[in-house]
Amino acid sequence: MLLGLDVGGTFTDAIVIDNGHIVQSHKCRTTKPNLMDGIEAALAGVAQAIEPSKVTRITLSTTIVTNALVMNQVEPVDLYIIPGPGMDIRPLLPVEPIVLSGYTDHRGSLAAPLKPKELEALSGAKRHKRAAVSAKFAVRNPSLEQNLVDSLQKAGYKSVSAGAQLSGALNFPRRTISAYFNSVVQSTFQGFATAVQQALHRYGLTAPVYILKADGGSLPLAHMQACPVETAFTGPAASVLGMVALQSMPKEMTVALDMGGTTTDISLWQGGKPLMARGGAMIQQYPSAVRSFAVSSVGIGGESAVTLNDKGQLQVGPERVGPSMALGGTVPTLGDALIVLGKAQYGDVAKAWAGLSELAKAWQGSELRPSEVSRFEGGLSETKVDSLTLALAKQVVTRAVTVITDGLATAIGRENKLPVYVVRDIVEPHIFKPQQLVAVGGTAASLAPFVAEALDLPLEIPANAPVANAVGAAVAKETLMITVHLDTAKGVLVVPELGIHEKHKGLHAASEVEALALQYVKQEAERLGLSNAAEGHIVAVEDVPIIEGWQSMHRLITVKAQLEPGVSLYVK
Amino acid sequence: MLNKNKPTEANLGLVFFPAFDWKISATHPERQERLLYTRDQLLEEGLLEHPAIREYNPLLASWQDIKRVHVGAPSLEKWVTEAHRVSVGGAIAAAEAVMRGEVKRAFSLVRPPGHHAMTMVHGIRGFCTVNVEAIMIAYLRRHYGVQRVAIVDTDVHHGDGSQDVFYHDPDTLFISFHQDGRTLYPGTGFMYEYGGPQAVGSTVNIPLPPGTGDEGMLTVLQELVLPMLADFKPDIIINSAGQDNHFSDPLANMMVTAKGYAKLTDLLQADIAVLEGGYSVQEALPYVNTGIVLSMAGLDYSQVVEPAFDEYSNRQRGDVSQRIEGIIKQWQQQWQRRHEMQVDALLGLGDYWHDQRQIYYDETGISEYRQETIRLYPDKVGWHSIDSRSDRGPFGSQHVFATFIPWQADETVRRDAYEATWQAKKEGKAQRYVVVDPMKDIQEEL
Repeated sequence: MLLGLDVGGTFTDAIVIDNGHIVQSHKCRTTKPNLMDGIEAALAGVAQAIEPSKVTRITLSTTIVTNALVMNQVEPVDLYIIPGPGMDIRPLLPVEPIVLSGYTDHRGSLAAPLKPKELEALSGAKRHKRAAVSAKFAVRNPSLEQNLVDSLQKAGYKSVSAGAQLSGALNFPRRTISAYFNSVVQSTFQGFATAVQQALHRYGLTAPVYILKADGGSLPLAHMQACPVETAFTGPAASVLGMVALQSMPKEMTVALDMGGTTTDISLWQGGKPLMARGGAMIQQYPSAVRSFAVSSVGIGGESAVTLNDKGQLQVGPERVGPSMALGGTVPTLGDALIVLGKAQYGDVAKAWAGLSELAKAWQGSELRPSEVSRFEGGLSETKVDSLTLALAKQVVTRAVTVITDGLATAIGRENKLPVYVVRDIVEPHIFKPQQLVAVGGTAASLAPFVAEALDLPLEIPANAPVANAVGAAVAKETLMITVHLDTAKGVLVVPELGIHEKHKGLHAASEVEALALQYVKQEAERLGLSNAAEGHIVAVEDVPIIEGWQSMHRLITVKAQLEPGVSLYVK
Repeated sequence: MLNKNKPTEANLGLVFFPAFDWKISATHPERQERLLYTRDQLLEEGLLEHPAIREYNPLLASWQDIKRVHVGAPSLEKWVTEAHRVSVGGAIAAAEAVMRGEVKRAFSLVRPPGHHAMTMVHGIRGFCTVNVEAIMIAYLRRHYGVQRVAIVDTDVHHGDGSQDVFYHDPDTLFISFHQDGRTLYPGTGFMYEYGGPQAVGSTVNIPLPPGTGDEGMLTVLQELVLPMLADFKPDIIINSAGQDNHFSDPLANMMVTAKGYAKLTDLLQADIAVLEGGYSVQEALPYVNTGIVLSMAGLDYSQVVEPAFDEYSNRQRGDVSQRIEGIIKQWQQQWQRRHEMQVDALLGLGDYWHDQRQIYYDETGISEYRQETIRLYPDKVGWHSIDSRSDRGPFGSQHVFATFIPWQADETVRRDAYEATWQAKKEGKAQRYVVVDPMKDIQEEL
């Protein structure tokens, strides 16, 4: 028996799954700022279906980190960077960092050490309880970063996040931002973790607790306290996994739309798997190294407000003022337009008509073409108002669809602009061209057919979509990723995520490095007690022949290996 | 918050293509590894996703694009690989980004290079097979109506291929400063090579002594190159951005630093830069490219310093500075006299000008023997033909006669060019007779 909890921006869902079947689910409002109230309510809603002793795993997808950042419930921390020569990254960071000397070059050679004088001054510079550190090329040689972590701990910091441990990928600004936000949310996350444990214990639940990460994998709650930043942006991850668990994703190149009340999330899929974001997730407006699905949002949802701006032009979204007028709201919405067109059936149809026709009267003079205006001259009869309202409703839907298709074009453009390093990729380009549309969420049934028509794509709307996120959380597999970099000329092996930087003379070929990487993944999985993971597999191999001193042939080999995100079982 | 100065629009379009699957040979300087460390540095700096920079993918250049400039022996298809077409396509993608107004300027950081490739292609010369910038310029003239073009070649080697392509075009100013040809490949690029009889002063070679550093290079730029550009008034400035003037380059003897290159880039304000040579792949390229990218993107490059840099050992010697001052003075005088020299050059020449030369293809180990003819008109730019032979190449003896119609041509010039080619065919000495008309997308066999 699995318990899944999804704390979303609007709703908190709980779901109980037994033998691949949903036996109970409960949806209630997310409570801010204290998320625990909503979680307890959701738990209460499914409590009678839970047999505590049978529950083997509890997985939580939570916006706690996102929420803490948005609500500014964060702890100020000291950020230390070791940038060496190159671009000044300070303008790209959320805070003014403390800059230290020292430099590691692109091959991982120590070009300049840390300065003892600067290290001695650390306790004087300390302003906050926690710190974050990031050094350029620490993924090639983490020693400067690690030395600084040691010194900072000695200087009395409670915890220190290090960029290269959070990500093994090249990108100093992104790792720096990850490390900073990791420290900033750490105490909030730890408080939350304790509260969750206590709440679960009150229901007699003692099964291991997992937290969903932005990459769609889960890891034990205890472990995540060291890297809470990885739980930022999990809402889309849960929704993406839910779609996988509900077996709604075809193998072709597919566009998935999660059409909610305020926004539509767009994800791109291939071979039944979602594409990952280039570089990492955005945290607030800062690009981080947190691995996540490539999900982009546009401000169109069922409750997007329909208004006229001061120039009299029609606006659909991105604002949401309140519920649709059909549900007692005060401002007409996209949902009201869909009701007027007979595409959505809920609430009070007359109220939807009333709201939209009011707007139609103000709209007709300002934006219709002269020929259309003349058709309505001599006063507006009831039928004319009706046809005008219908015209407006159609226009509202057209605008909304355009925003979504534009957002989709941007997402596809970004995917097709991924870096290319080899001739073969240009000669035989890998172009993402969608062949199928899948839509979930409350607005999918009424709006998605218009999007499908505009894109000329077949559409599928899976059943069970409303609880997809909680399902996704419940069945998420465990994941982790490591990067193994071998320089055969130096005989140095680096695994930044594991803090490994050692002499290694025995390895020469990429296949050997791949085998070693899988071994590291396995060891780390055992160390973390992961039992629900896929077999480790190789994500990427780069193997470039290099020459030292004009003739001796060596190789630089970089292998990325991971426990792949996915679902442990399909759900009905 | 420190984000006050965050640029909102992209200043620089960047095409980055390291061709990790292409090499001349396993130990050749032009091998897979060449841009590996540059890639690592750019990725680690986060430059490819900086808001001031927009990344573009290279295209696969069409044969039509390449055939506006080059004629191959026995054919272009025998010599030009897909990697070359992608390298050219990178420059075209960069140019497109600028011409469409999406970015202020663009840098095509691609390999293989091209500035030693001449119009006739009998093989590989100085690591180059086709001339990337020349093909890009022909593309700009054909598709965007660009007319006056200036190329500033900042590679340490003389850009003899670019010089060859544009030697008779008065509307393309080709400026190359490089280590003196008496001390370095390809052994050309002297002051007296200043353009053909109808294009005097449109080629500017500035041979610099070994040991030239930032100081010398920047003085040449400020006192010579920038005033020349101001006089010429180009529609567009192209930088053939070789990086082998660097103090650590294994193939040359200059002392320029990464920051020196960044300053040069800043002063030059080229619209499009295209990578050429530079073979200090670890100690120079990552830093020089970071410097150029920052500079073109309008970002601070003052912190770009190579770990190997030592201020004392990198100081330009006094005698080197003196020699550079001398060259600048000489060129300033020659530049002032260029209009008189143009008049003198045409005096008594009649309708035709002939020349003979031999061109060595170091990579392929063959020699090309050329007889060149230019048709001179009193009031317009004439065609030129190349009767080109080579032997001992992998495809046996080659003899191609090619006529190049200038991009400025009118119908008279076109008719005359075809007539001359038919005439040559009647004599029947060559295996192939080819006419190239770049503005009509024509390269045809007669």
